[in-house]
Amino acid sequence: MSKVKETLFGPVLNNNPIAAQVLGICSALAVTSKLETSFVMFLAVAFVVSFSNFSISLIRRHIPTNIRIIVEMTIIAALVIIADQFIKAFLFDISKQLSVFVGLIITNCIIMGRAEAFAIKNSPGLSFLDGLGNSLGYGMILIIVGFLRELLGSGKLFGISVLQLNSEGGWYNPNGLMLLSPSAFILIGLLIWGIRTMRPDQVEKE
Amino acid sequence: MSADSPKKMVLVAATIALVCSILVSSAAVLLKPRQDRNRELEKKKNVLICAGLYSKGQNIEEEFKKVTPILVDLKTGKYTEKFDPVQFQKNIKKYMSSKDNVIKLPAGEAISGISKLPRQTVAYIVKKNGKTEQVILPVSGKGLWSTVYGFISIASDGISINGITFYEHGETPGLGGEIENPRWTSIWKGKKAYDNSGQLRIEIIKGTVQKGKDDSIYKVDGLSGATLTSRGVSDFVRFWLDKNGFRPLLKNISAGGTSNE
Repeated sequence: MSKVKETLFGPVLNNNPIAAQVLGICSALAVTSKLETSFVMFLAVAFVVSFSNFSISLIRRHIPTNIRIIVEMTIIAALVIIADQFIKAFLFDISKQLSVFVGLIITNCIIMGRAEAFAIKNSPGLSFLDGLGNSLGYGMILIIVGFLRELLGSGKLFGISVLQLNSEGGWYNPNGLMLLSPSAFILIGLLIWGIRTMRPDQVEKE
Repeated sequence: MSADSPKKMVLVAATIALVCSILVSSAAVLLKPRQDRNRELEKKKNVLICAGLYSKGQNIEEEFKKVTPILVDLKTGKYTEKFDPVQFQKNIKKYMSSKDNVIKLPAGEAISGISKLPRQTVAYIVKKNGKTEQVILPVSGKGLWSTVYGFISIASDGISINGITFYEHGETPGLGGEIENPRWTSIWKGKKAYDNSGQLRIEIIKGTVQKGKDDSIYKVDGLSGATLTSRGVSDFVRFWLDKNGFRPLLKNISAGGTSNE
Protein backbone atom coordinates (compact mmCIF):
# COMPACT_ATOMS: atom_id res chain seq x y z
CA MET A 1 0.00 0.00 0.00
CA SER A 2 2.78 2.40 0.91
CA LYS A 3 4.34 1.76 -2.48
CA VAL A 4 1.16 2.88 -4.19
CA LYS A 5 1.05 5.99 -2.05
CA GLU A 6 4.69 6.72 -2.65
CA THR A 7 4.26 6.29 -6.42
CA LEU A 8 1.24 8.56 -6.53
CA PHE A 9 2.23 11.34 -4.14
CA GLY A 10 6.01 11.12 -4.12
CA PRO A 11 6.35 13.19 -7.29
CA VAL A 12 4.20 15.99 -5.89
CA LEU A 13 6.65 17.34 -3.32
CA ASN A 14 9.52 14.90 -2.73
CA ASN A 15 10.47 14.37 -6.32
CA ASN A 16 8.56 16.98 -8.27
CA PRO A 17 9.25 16.69 -12.01
CA ILE A 18 9.61 20.45 -12.42
CA ALA A 19 11.06 21.49 -9.09
CA ALA A 20 13.35 18.55 -8.32
CA GLN A 21 14.11 17.12 -11.74
CA VAL A 22 13.72 20.41 -13.64
CA LEU A 23 11.87 18.74 -16.52
CA GLY A 24 9.01 20.12 -18.56
CA ILE A 25 10.05 23.72 -18.00
CA CYS A 26 9.33 24.83 -21.57
CA SER A 27 5.59 24.29 -21.42
CA ALA A 28 5.47 25.60 -17.86
CA LEU A 29 6.73 28.92 -19.21
CA ALA A 30 4.46 29.01 -22.21
CA VAL A 31 0.97 28.22 -20.97
CA THR A 32 0.90 29.66 -17.46
CA SER A 33 -0.08 33.24 -18.25
CA LYS A 34 -3.63 32.24 -17.32
CA LEU A 35 -5.02 29.85 -14.76
CA GLU A 36 -7.51 28.33 -17.18
CA THR A 37 -4.91 27.35 -19.75
CA SER A 38 -2.61 26.02 -17.00
CA PHE A 39 -5.41 23.82 -15.79
CA VAL A 40 -6.30 22.41 -19.19
CA MET A 41 -2.64 21.83 -19.93
CA PHE A 42 -2.36 19.90 -16.67
CA LEU A 43 -5.33 17.73 -17.63
CA ALA A 44 -3.91 17.07 -21.08
CA VAL A 45 -0.51 16.11 -19.68
CA ALA A 46 -2.15 13.96 -17.00
CA PHE A 47 -4.06 12.08 -19.70
CA VAL A 48 -1.03 11.59 -21.90
CA VAL A 49 1.51 10.60 -19.26
CA SER A 50 -0.85 8.23 -17.40
CA PHE A 51 -1.96 6.38 -20.50
CA SER A 52 1.43 6.35 -22.16
CA ASN A 53 2.90 4.88 -18.98
CA PHE A 54 0.08 2.36 -18.83
CA SER A 55 0.30 1.19 -22.41
CA ILE A 56 4.07 1.14 -22.54
CA SER A 57 4.14 -0.90 -19.35
CA LEU A 58 1.51 -3.24 -20.78
CA ILE A 59 3.73 -4.22 -23.70
CA ARG A 60 7.07 -3.70 -21.94
CA ARG A 61 8.10 -7.35 -22.32
CA HIS A 62 7.45 -7.27 -26.04
CA ILE A 63 9.19 -4.01 -26.94
CA PRO A 64 12.47 -4.81 -28.70
CA THR A 65 15.27 -2.82 -27.06
CA ASN A 66 16.60 -1.54 -30.39
CA ILE A 67 13.45 0.32 -31.31
CA ARG A 68 12.31 1.03 -27.76
CA ILE A 69 12.43 4.82 -28.01
CA ILE A 70 10.60 4.93 -31.35
CA VAL A 71 7.83 2.69 -30.06
CA GLU A 72 7.44 4.88 -26.98
CA MET A 73 7.39 8.04 -29.08
CA THR A 74 4.72 6.61 -31.39
CA ILE A 75 2.45 5.82 -28.48
CA ILE A 76 3.01 9.22 -26.86
CA ALA A 77 2.46 11.06 -30.13
CA ALA A 78 -0.79 9.20 -30.79
CA LEU A 79 -2.09 10.07 -27.32
CA VAL A 80 -1.12 13.72 -27.71
CA ILE A 81 -2.95 14.02 -31.01
CA ILE A 82 -6.04 12.45 -29.49
CA ALA A 83 -5.89 14.89 -26.55
CA ASP A 84 -5.42 17.79 -28.96
CA GLN A 85 -8.40 16.73 -31.07
CA PHE A 86 -10.61 16.49 -28.00
CA ILE A 87 -9.60 19.91 -26.76
CA LYS A 88 -10.29 21.39 -30.20
CA ALA A 89 -13.70 19.76 -30.28
CA PHE A 90 -14.91 20.48 -26.76
CA LEU A 91 -12.88 23.39 -25.41
CA PHE A 92 -12.48 25.50 -28.51
CA ASP A 93 -11.70 28.82 -26.81
CA ILE A 94 -8.99 27.28 -24.69
CA SER A 95 -7.51 25.39 -27.61
CA LYS A 96 -7.05 28.73 -29.33
CA GLN A 97 -5.04 30.01 -26.40
CA LEU A 98 -2.98 26.86 -25.97
CA SER A 99 -2.32 26.83 -29.73
CA VAL A 100 0.76 24.76 -30.48
CA PHE A 101 1.55 23.84 -26.91
CA VAL A 102 -0.80 20.87 -26.76
CA GLY A 103 0.99 19.40 -29.77
CA LEU A 104 4.27 20.10 -28.06
CA ILE A 105 3.36 17.85 -25.13
CA ILE A 106 5.08 15.21 -27.27
CA THR A 107 8.38 16.87 -26.51
CA ASN A 108 7.63 17.28 -22.80
CA CYS A 109 10.56 15.57 -21.17
CA ILE A 110 8.47 14.36 -18.24
CA ILE A 111 6.51 11.94 -20.40
CA MET A 112 9.46 10.31 -22.11
CA GLY A 113 11.32 10.39 -18.80
CA ARG A 114 8.59 8.49 -16.96
CA ALA A 115 8.27 5.94 -19.76
CA GLU A 116 11.98 5.23 -19.68
CA ALA A 117 12.52 5.48 -15.95
CA PHE A 118 9.40 3.77 -14.67
CA ALA A 119 6.93 2.23 -17.11
CA ILE A 120 9.47 0.03 -18.85
CA LYS A 121 10.24 -1.75 -15.55
CA ASN A 122 6.97 -1.74 -13.60
CA SER A 123 3.48 -3.19 -13.79
CA PRO A 124 0.77 -1.33 -15.76
CA GLY A 125 -1.25 -0.35 -12.69
CA LEU A 126 1.70 1.09 -10.87
CA SER A 127 2.91 2.83 -14.02
CA PHE A 128 -0.46 4.44 -14.48
CA LEU A 129 -0.29 5.79 -10.92
CA ASP A 130 3.25 6.98 -11.48
CA GLY A 131 2.08 8.92 -14.52
CA LEU A 132 -0.80 10.37 -12.57
CA GLY A 133 1.50 11.31 -9.68
CA ASN A 134 4.00 13.02 -11.91
CA SER A 135 1.32 14.98 -13.72
CA LEU A 136 -0.02 16.05 -10.33
CA GLY A 137 3.43 17.36 -9.46
CA TYR A 138 3.65 19.10 -12.82
CA GLY A 139 0.11 20.43 -12.54
CA MET A 140 0.70 21.75 -9.05
CA ILE A 141 3.58 23.93 -10.21
CA LEU A 142 1.64 24.99 -13.31
CA ILE A 143 -1.35 26.05 -11.27
CA ILE A 144 0.70 27.94 -8.67
CA VAL A 145 2.55 29.79 -11.42
CA GLY A 146 -0.62 30.36 -13.43
CA PHE A 147 -2.40 31.68 -10.35
CA LEU A 148 0.33 34.21 -9.60
CA ARG A 149 0.81 35.27 -13.21
CA GLU A 150 -2.86 35.81 -13.95
CA LEU A 151 -3.49 37.56 -10.64
CA LEU A 152 -0.51 39.89 -10.81
CA GLY A 153 -0.39 40.25 -14.58
CA SER A 154 -4.02 40.90 -15.40
CA GLY A 155 -5.77 41.12 -12.02
CA LYS A 156 -7.96 38.13 -12.82
CA LEU A 157 -8.48 34.53 -11.77
CA PHE A 158 -10.06 32.15 -14.28
CA GLY A 159 -10.88 35.23 -16.34
CA ILE A 160 -12.89 36.87 -13.55
CA SER A 161 -11.65 40.23 -12.30
CA VAL A 162 -10.31 40.04 -8.77
CA LEU A 163 -8.11 43.10 -8.57
CA GLN A 164 -9.71 46.15 -10.19
CA LEU A 165 -7.34 47.38 -12.87
CA ASN A 166 -6.61 51.09 -12.97
CA SER A 167 -7.27 51.09 -16.71
CA GLU A 168 -10.83 50.15 -15.82
CA GLY A 169 -11.18 52.59 -12.97
CA GLY A 170 -9.75 50.44 -10.18
CA TRP A 171 -6.61 50.72 -8.10
CA TYR A 172 -4.39 47.89 -9.34
CA ASN A 173 -1.61 48.65 -11.77
CA PRO A 174 -0.94 45.30 -13.48
CA ASN A 175 2.59 44.00 -13.76
CA GLY A 176 3.07 43.49 -17.49
CA LEU A 177 6.16 41.36 -16.94
CA MET A 178 3.96 38.68 -15.42
CA LEU A 179 2.33 38.10 -18.82
CA LEU A 180 5.67 37.38 -20.44
CA SER A 181 7.35 34.00 -20.25
CA PRO A 182 10.44 35.16 -18.32
CA SER A 183 8.29 35.85 -15.27
CA ALA A 184 7.49 32.12 -15.10
CA PHE A 185 11.22 31.47 -14.96
CA ILE A 186 11.51 33.73 -11.95
CA LEU A 187 8.48 32.21 -10.24
CA ILE A 188 9.62 28.63 -10.86
CA GLY A 189 13.06 29.59 -9.57
CA LEU A 190 11.53 30.94 -6.39
CA LEU A 191 9.41 27.79 -6.02
CA ILE A 192 12.44 25.54 -6.42
CA TRP A 193 14.25 27.62 -3.83
CA GLY A 194 11.30 27.34 -1.46
CA ILE A 195 10.91 23.59 -1.88
CA ARG A 196 14.62 22.94 -1.47
CA THR A 197 14.77 25.05 1.65
CA MET A 198 11.97 22.92 3.08
CA ARG A 199 13.62 19.69 1.90
CA PRO A 200 17.39 20.13 1.92
CA ASP A 201 17.86 16.52 0.73
CA GLN A 202 16.86 17.69 -2.78
CA VAL A 203 19.86 19.95 -3.07
CA GLU A 204 22.46 18.42 -5.39
CA LYS A 205 25.83 17.69 -3.86
CA GLU A 206 28.71 19.79 -5.11
CA MET B 1 10.60 -15.89 -29.95
CA SER B 2 12.93 -13.43 -28.21
CA ALA B 3 11.90 -9.79 -28.08
CA ASP B 4 15.01 -8.77 -29.99
CA SER B 5 14.74 -11.04 -33.01
CA PRO B 6 14.28 -9.14 -36.28
CA LYS B 7 10.97 -10.87 -36.94
CA LYS B 8 9.57 -9.76 -33.62
CA MET B 9 10.89 -6.26 -34.13
CA VAL B 10 9.03 -5.83 -37.40
CA LEU B 11 5.92 -7.39 -35.93
CA VAL B 12 5.88 -5.08 -32.89
CA ALA B 13 6.63 -1.99 -34.97
CA ALA B 14 3.88 -2.79 -37.47
CA THR B 15 1.32 -3.57 -34.78
CA ILE B 16 2.05 -0.38 -32.83
CA ALA B 17 1.90 1.72 -35.99
CA LEU B 18 -1.38 0.14 -37.02
CA VAL B 19 -3.07 0.48 -33.63
CA CYS B 20 -1.90 4.06 -33.14
CA SER B 21 -2.93 5.17 -36.60
CA ILE B 22 -6.40 3.65 -36.17
CA LEU B 23 -6.82 5.48 -32.86
CA VAL B 24 -5.57 8.78 -34.20
CA SER B 25 -7.53 8.71 -37.41
CA SER B 26 -10.77 7.68 -35.74
CA ALA B 27 -10.41 10.48 -33.19
CA ALA B 28 -9.77 12.95 -36.01
CA VAL B 29 -12.64 11.74 -38.16
CA LEU B 30 -15.17 11.44 -35.34
CA LEU B 31 -14.41 14.84 -33.87
CA LYS B 32 -14.06 16.73 -37.13
CA PRO B 33 -17.72 17.75 -37.51
CA ARG B 34 -17.68 19.20 -34.03
CA GLN B 35 -14.44 21.08 -34.64
CA ASP B 36 -15.71 22.48 -37.92
CA ARG B 37 -18.86 23.60 -36.21
CA ASN B 38 -16.79 25.36 -33.54
CA ARG B 39 -14.74 27.12 -36.17
CA GLU B 40 -17.81 28.17 -38.12
CA LEU B 41 -19.51 29.44 -34.98
CA GLU B 42 -16.42 31.38 -33.99
CA LYS B 43 -16.43 33.06 -37.39
CA LYS B 44 -20.10 33.92 -37.18
CA LYS B 45 -19.63 35.23 -33.68
CA ASN B 46 -16.93 37.55 -34.92
CA VAL B 47 -19.05 38.80 -37.80
CA LEU B 48 -21.68 39.69 -35.20
CA ILE B 49 -19.16 41.33 -32.86
CA CYS B 50 -17.83 43.32 -35.77
CA ALA B 51 -21.32 44.46 -36.73
CA GLY B 52 -22.06 45.39 -33.14
CA LEU B 53 -24.86 42.83 -32.93
CA TYR B 54 -23.30 40.47 -30.41
CA SER B 55 -23.97 40.33 -26.72
CA LYS B 56 -22.81 37.58 -24.42
CA GLY B 57 -24.98 34.50 -24.02
CA GLN B 58 -27.14 35.02 -27.05
CA ASN B 59 -27.76 32.34 -29.63
CA ILE B 60 -25.27 32.99 -32.40
CA GLU B 61 -27.11 31.05 -35.11
CA GLU B 62 -30.33 32.89 -34.31
CA GLU B 63 -28.70 36.30 -34.32
CA PHE B 64 -26.80 35.52 -37.49
CA LYS B 65 -30.07 35.49 -39.42
CA LYS B 66 -29.87 39.30 -39.40
CA VAL B 67 -26.75 39.03 -41.53
CA THR B 68 -26.84 38.29 -45.25
CA PRO B 69 -23.82 36.61 -46.84
CA ILE B 70 -22.91 38.06 -50.22
CA LEU B 71 -20.59 36.87 -52.96
CA VAL B 72 -18.46 39.79 -54.08
CA ASP B 73 -16.64 40.18 -57.36
CA LEU B 74 -13.46 41.94 -56.24
CA LYS B 75 -12.72 43.45 -59.67
CA THR B 76 -16.09 45.00 -60.42
CA GLY B 77 -17.46 45.43 -56.92
CA LYS B 78 -20.70 43.76 -57.90
CA TYR B 79 -22.25 41.26 -55.59
CA THR B 80 -25.00 38.72 -55.34
CA GLU B 81 -26.98 37.25 -52.49
CA LYS B 82 -28.00 34.25 -54.54
CA PHE B 83 -25.37 31.69 -53.63
CA ASP B 84 -24.71 29.07 -51.03
CA PRO B 85 -21.94 30.24 -48.67
CA VAL B 86 -21.41 26.78 -47.20
CA GLN B 87 -21.02 25.21 -50.62
CA PHE B 88 -18.75 28.03 -51.84
CA GLN B 89 -16.44 27.62 -48.85
CA LYS B 90 -16.37 23.87 -49.38
CA ASN B 91 -15.33 24.17 -53.02
CA ILE B 92 -12.88 27.01 -52.53
CA LYS B 93 -9.86 24.86 -53.41
CA LYS B 94 -11.44 23.74 -56.65
CA TYR B 95 -12.48 27.32 -57.35
CA MET B 96 -8.94 28.61 -56.84
CA SER B 97 -7.47 25.91 -59.08
CA SER B 98 -9.09 27.49 -62.13
CA LYS B 99 -6.92 30.24 -63.60
CA ASP B 100 -9.84 32.51 -64.44
CA ASN B 101 -10.80 32.73 -60.81
CA VAL B 102 -7.46 33.95 -59.51
CA ILE B 103 -6.19 37.52 -59.61
CA LYS B 104 -2.39 37.71 -59.57
CA LEU B 105 -1.16 40.95 -58.11
CA PRO B 106 1.70 42.84 -59.75
CA ALA B 107 4.84 42.88 -57.61
CA GLY B 108 4.45 46.51 -56.52
CA GLU B 109 0.93 46.04 -55.22
CA ALA B 110 1.29 42.74 -53.40
CA ILE B 111 1.89 42.93 -49.67
CA SER B 112 3.55 40.41 -47.43
CA GLY B 113 1.49 37.23 -47.41
CA ILE B 114 -0.91 38.25 -50.17
CA SER B 115 0.21 37.81 -53.76
CA LYS B 116 -2.92 36.38 -55.32
CA LEU B 117 -6.61 36.68 -54.62
CA PRO B 118 -9.74 34.80 -55.56
CA ARG B 119 -11.83 36.78 -58.02
CA GLN B 120 -14.91 36.29 -55.88
CA THR B 121 -15.08 36.20 -52.12
CA VAL B 122 -17.66 36.02 -49.36
CA ALA B 123 -18.56 39.12 -47.34
CA TYR B 124 -21.63 40.01 -45.27
CA ILE B 125 -24.16 42.79 -45.23
CA VAL B 126 -26.62 43.85 -42.57
CA LYS B 127 -29.84 45.39 -43.82
CA LYS B 128 -32.28 47.65 -42.10
CA ASN B 129 -35.71 48.10 -43.64
CA GLY B 130 -34.46 46.53 -46.84
CA LYS B 131 -31.56 48.96 -47.18
CA THR B 132 -27.95 48.06 -46.64
CA GLU B 133 -26.84 49.47 -43.31
CA GLN B 134 -23.31 48.11 -43.08
CA VAL B 135 -21.05 45.70 -44.87
CA ILE B 136 -18.68 43.32 -43.08
CA LEU B 137 -15.52 42.47 -44.94
CA PRO B 138 -13.07 39.70 -44.19
CA VAL B 139 -9.51 40.96 -43.81
CA SER B 140 -6.38 38.92 -43.35
CA GLY B 141 -2.64 39.24 -43.66
CA LYS B 142 0.67 38.96 -41.91
CA GLY B 143 1.06 40.25 -38.39
CA LEU B 144 4.47 39.61 -36.90
CA TRP B 145 4.52 35.84 -36.41
CA SER B 146 1.37 34.67 -38.05
CA THR B 147 -1.42 35.29 -40.47
CA VAL B 148 -4.10 37.32 -38.76
CA TYR B 149 -7.76 36.88 -39.70
CA GLY B 150 -10.47 39.36 -38.91
CA PHE B 151 -13.45 41.34 -40.07
CA ILE B 152 -13.98 45.04 -40.59
CA SER B 153 -17.39 46.63 -40.78
CA ILE B 154 -17.97 49.68 -42.97
CA ALA B 155 -21.15 51.76 -42.88
CA SER B 156 -23.27 52.16 -45.99
CA ASP B 157 -21.57 55.49 -46.77
CA GLY B 158 -18.57 53.36 -47.74
CA ILE B 159 -16.28 55.47 -45.55
CA SER B 160 -16.99 55.11 -41.84
CA ILE B 161 -15.67 52.20 -39.85
CA ASN B 162 -18.25 50.56 -37.63
CA GLY B 163 -16.06 48.00 -35.98
CA ILE B 164 -13.20 45.58 -36.39
CA THR B 165 -12.41 42.17 -34.90
CA PHE B 166 -9.61 39.67 -35.16
CA TYR B 167 -10.42 36.06 -34.48
CA GLU B 168 -7.50 33.94 -35.50
CA HIS B 169 -3.84 34.74 -35.08
CA GLY B 170 -0.64 33.52 -33.46
CA GLU B 171 0.71 36.79 -32.12
CA THR B 172 2.35 37.01 -28.69
CA PRO B 173 -0.31 36.99 -25.98
CA GLY B 174 -0.26 40.26 -24.07
CA LEU B 175 1.60 42.12 -26.83
CA GLY B 176 0.58 41.57 -30.45
CA GLY B 177 -2.24 39.39 -29.15
CA GLU B 178 -3.85 42.56 -27.84
CA ILE B 179 -5.28 43.14 -31.32
CA GLU B 180 -8.08 40.94 -30.00
CA ASN B 181 -8.67 43.18 -27.02
CA PRO B 182 -12.08 44.91 -27.29
CA ARG B 183 -10.58 47.97 -25.65
CA TRP B 184 -8.28 48.41 -28.62
CA THR B 185 -10.68 47.36 -31.37
CA SER B 186 -13.25 49.81 -30.01
CA ILE B 187 -10.88 52.68 -30.93
CA TRP B 188 -11.59 51.90 -34.58
CA LYS B 189 -15.29 52.59 -34.25
CA GLY B 190 -16.17 55.93 -35.81
CA LYS B 191 -12.88 56.33 -37.65
CA LYS B 192 -13.02 57.11 -41.35
CA ALA B 193 -11.20 54.96 -43.89
CA TYR B 194 -11.14 57.54 -46.70
CA ASP B 195 -11.12 61.32 -46.85
CA ASN B 196 -13.54 63.40 -48.88
CA SER B 197 -11.49 63.14 -52.04
CA GLY B 198 -11.70 59.37 -51.77
CA GLN B 199 -8.11 58.85 -50.74
CA LEU B 200 -7.40 55.90 -48.46
CA ARG B 201 -6.23 57.43 -45.18
CA ILE B 202 -6.79 54.97 -42.34
CA GLU B 203 -3.64 53.78 -40.60
CA ILE B 204 -2.27 52.62 -37.30
CA ILE B 205 0.40 54.98 -36.04
CA LYS B 206 3.10 54.47 -33.45
CA GLY B 207 2.01 55.84 -30.11
CA THR B 208 -1.18 57.66 -29.25
CA VAL B 209 -3.21 59.75 -31.68
CA GLN B 210 -3.29 63.43 -30.80
CA LYS B 211 -6.85 64.46 -30.20
CA GLY B 212 -8.49 67.36 -31.98
CA LYS B 213 -6.23 67.35 -35.00
CA ASP B 214 -7.73 67.31 -38.48
CA ASP B 215 -6.38 63.92 -39.37
CA SER B 216 -6.99 62.17 -36.05
CA ILE B 217 -10.18 60.70 -37.51
CA TYR B 218 -8.03 58.63 -39.88
CA LYS B 219 -5.54 57.39 -37.28
CA VAL B 220 -5.58 54.59 -34.77
CA ASP B 221 -3.32 54.24 -31.72
CA GLY B 222 -0.56 51.68 -32.13
CA LEU B 223 -0.25 48.91 -29.59
CA SER B 224 2.69 49.50 -27.30
CA GLY B 225 5.12 46.61 -27.34
CA ALA B 226 3.65 45.40 -30.62
CA THR B 227 4.98 47.79 -33.23
CA LEU B 228 5.46 45.14 -35.87
CA THR B 229 2.07 43.51 -35.36
CA SER B 230 0.47 46.97 -35.54
CA ARG B 231 2.32 47.71 -38.75
CA GLY B 232 1.26 44.39 -40.28
CA VAL B 233 -2.37 44.92 -39.34
CA SER B 234 -2.28 48.49 -40.64
CA ASP B 235 -0.81 47.31 -43.94
CA PHE B 236 -3.29 44.57 -44.60
CA VAL B 237 -6.34 46.52 -43.50
CA ARG B 238 -5.26 49.23 -45.94
CA PHE B 239 -4.70 46.61 -48.61
CA TRP B 240 -8.19 45.20 -48.25
CA LEU B 241 -9.77 48.63 -48.29
CA ASP B 242 -7.84 49.65 -51.40
CA LYS B 243 -8.55 49.06 -55.06
CA ASN B 244 -7.30 45.47 -55.14
CA GLY B 245 -9.48 44.66 -52.16
CA PHE B 246 -13.00 45.83 -51.44
CA ARG B 247 -12.82 49.40 -52.74
CA PRO B 248 -14.97 48.67 -55.80
CA LEU B 249 -17.59 47.03 -53.60
CA LEU B 250 -17.64 49.94 -51.15
CA LYS B 251 -18.03 52.40 -54.02
CA ASN B 252 -20.86 50.32 -55.39
CA ILE B 253 -22.60 50.20 -52.01
CA SER B 254 -22.19 53.88 -51.20
CA ALA B 255 -23.64 54.69 -54.62
CA GLY B 256 -26.77 52.88 -53.46
CA GLY B 257 -26.00 49.79 -55.47
CA THR B 258 -27.92 46.75 -54.45
CA SER B 259 -27.52 43.12 -55.18
CA ASN B 260 -27.01 42.65 -58.88
CA GLU B 261 -25.70 39.89 -61.06
